[in-house]
Amino acid sequence: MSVTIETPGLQTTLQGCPRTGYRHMGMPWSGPADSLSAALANRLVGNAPDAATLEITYGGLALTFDTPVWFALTGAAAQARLNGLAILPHKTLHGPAKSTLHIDMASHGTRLYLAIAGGWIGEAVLGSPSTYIPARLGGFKGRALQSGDQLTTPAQPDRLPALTTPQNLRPRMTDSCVLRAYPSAEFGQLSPASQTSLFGQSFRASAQIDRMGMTLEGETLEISSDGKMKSAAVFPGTVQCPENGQPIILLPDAQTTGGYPRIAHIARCDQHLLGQIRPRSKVQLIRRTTQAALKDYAEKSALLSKWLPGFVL
Amino acid sequence: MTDARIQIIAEDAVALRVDTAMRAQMLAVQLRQTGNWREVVPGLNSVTIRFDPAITDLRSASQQLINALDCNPGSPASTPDTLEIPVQYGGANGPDLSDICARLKLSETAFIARHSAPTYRAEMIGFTPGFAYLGGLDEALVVARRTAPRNHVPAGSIGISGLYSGLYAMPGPGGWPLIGRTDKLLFNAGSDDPFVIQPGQLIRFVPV
Repeated sequence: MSVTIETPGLQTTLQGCPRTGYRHMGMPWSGPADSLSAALANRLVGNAPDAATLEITYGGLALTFDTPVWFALTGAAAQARLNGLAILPHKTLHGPAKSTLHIDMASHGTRLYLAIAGGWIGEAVLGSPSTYIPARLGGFKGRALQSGDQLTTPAQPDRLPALTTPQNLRPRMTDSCVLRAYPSAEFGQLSPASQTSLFGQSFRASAQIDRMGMTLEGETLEISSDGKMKSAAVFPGTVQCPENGQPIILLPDAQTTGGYPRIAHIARCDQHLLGQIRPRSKVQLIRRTTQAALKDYAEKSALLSKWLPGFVL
Repeated sequence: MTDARIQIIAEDAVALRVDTAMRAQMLAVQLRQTGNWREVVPGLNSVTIRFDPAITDLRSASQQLINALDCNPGSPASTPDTLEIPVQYGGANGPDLSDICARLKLSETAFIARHSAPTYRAEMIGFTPGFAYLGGLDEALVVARRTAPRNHVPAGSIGISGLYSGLYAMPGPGGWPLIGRTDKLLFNAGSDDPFVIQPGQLIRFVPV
């Protein structure tokens, strides 16, 4: 029972539960950059929310189901075909033996998630099958998929309920992203004008985005930093500001410690949105308090809990 | 929070500023033993805890950090053993060694003697998996980081930057000038405790 990769796309990796609890040893979390879309895909094929999915960056993937497989596709907006016939995202689908799935390039959003019944099988390291490419660990041989790779698939059920993600739970894929955020430890090192501009201005995501982070380009922030801040903990969602005044938002593969001022943090309720920001698209930070952010988090979690029991945003 | 040592990092993460990396490590060990934290991350002068917002909040987590500091003995329970690490200096294993020696006006032999003389201490593990910041570098060997980081540094590589020598447990990107490499396995993927070097570990480099 297997799937053969015909065309891997720009970067397709296996991502499941994050590798948590080892940041003191320098181990990043990894896991899906858009954890909500990954959980929604898993839900449609009866998996736990954090079962391993394929994270397909910008689409452009083709694969053949060597044996019958139940699958579902969520995340970035892209046309997809099964044996040449159009298929819809956010639905439980069945791929017969020898059928080929084609996913075109995404028109909105960045990452698609392909779940199969039982979950993709990855090499578990420290309790997680997620791929961390820089250290070549987890997932499929610690790397992005390549043409000709054969991935073993788990035993498939004879039937699965045909599900569709409720419309109101589908994250919208847009070219402008508004993120709730709040000041972090070194916010006070920004000049008063830049403290305002961080939350007021419309940034553009850098042309280069990877799973470690993205730079926000815009009006340069003024930061009083002597470059000697002692390395301290950072997390996915941390907004750092190097001396050049262009903030960096950290993503799931980000380093565990850093020496740049931590000027802000993206509210946990909106961190899943980071995974869909396209290069050069608009990004705006909306200022919240940590208390308001916790309330937002509780509200979004409650909204999702009925459809996604056990999912931790 | 009124305590100036407390820093809010995120809605579910808070840090305590401390005086030394060693205290940060001891506190981290203590916190990991006594609390149910998602992450406990010591830095060079801080320790950060991340919690589950469903079971605790910033106020309570901050208080627990302060309490932990108040009852911390301030010195480690035992002196760790010194780990010897065999190093092949220079050449392909340490591609920046000859440049560094030229800048410092030292012969490679003199550099190696000075670099392998001290006992180092792992002051922090971080940035990338298992990367060890080893305090104790000879002040005569201080050089700046490379202006262009390397995309791929092999596992076991040894670099220097500021007053630290750095040890790459795993392959990955890196900006530290490289002086040598060890064959010793520093990350054992199959093991439950795969990291050979823990915070606080004492290390000596042995030229081979």
